[in-house]
Amino acid sequence: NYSPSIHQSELLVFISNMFGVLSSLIVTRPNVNSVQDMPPPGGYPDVATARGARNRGPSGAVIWLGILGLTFGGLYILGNTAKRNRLNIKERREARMAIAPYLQAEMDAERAVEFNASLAREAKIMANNPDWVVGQSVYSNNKL
Amino acid sequence: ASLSCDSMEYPDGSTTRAPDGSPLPFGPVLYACNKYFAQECKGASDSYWQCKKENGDPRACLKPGENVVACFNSVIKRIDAACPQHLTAYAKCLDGNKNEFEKCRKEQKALEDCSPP
Repeated sequence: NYSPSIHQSELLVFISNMFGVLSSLIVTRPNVNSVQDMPPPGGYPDVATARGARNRGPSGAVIWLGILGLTFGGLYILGNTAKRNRLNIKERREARMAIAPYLQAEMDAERAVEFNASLAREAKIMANNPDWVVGQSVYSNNKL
Repeated sequence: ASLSCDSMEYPDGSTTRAPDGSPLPFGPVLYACNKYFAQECKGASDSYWQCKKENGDPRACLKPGENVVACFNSVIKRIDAACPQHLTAYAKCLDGNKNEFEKCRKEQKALEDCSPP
């Protein structure tokens, strides 16, 4: 018996389906099922678009001052060091000049004793030779 | 008692001195007193150099040399009598620094304040 009329259960199913369709059309709810690439909380920082906001380093005047300061400061240090070295060399030279007579006199005394001993040896060795002059210089220069 | 020339330490503990207590006129002591020598022994030094210039024989300048040595020794004795610790300190500092004056300015100033050259 194929009746063309809708049965009661089919009607109820149809009505509940329509209810869902109509409620989804009318009622708005937040969609918590989707994942999207969102900005961080608080948003992004401002983009630096201002023309003079970039740091370009020291100004020209500062660079000039730096170069001239290092140059003349270095020359000052150089001059002072040279002066100090000159004075130190002078001090050392004068000290050695002051001390030299003492050392030379000491050495002269030692050498005189040794020379006299060598003359005595020479006289002893050449005692037999009457023509030998002990201590005669072999050089023509009177200094030696 | 044995002397150690490398450390300049003597049996009684003092430095730059002979065992009998007199100051030893070695390099650092001479360098320490060079200003006093230049000032007080100028005559003896000049006559000695004059003799050396005229004579090449070392035996000819023994007498001026003796004057020089006597003058220097008297100067060292005087400084030692006036300020022994300062002289010893300065000589010891120079001994440890190759006789460089620049390294021992403090001791030099102490000695020169004690007895001005």
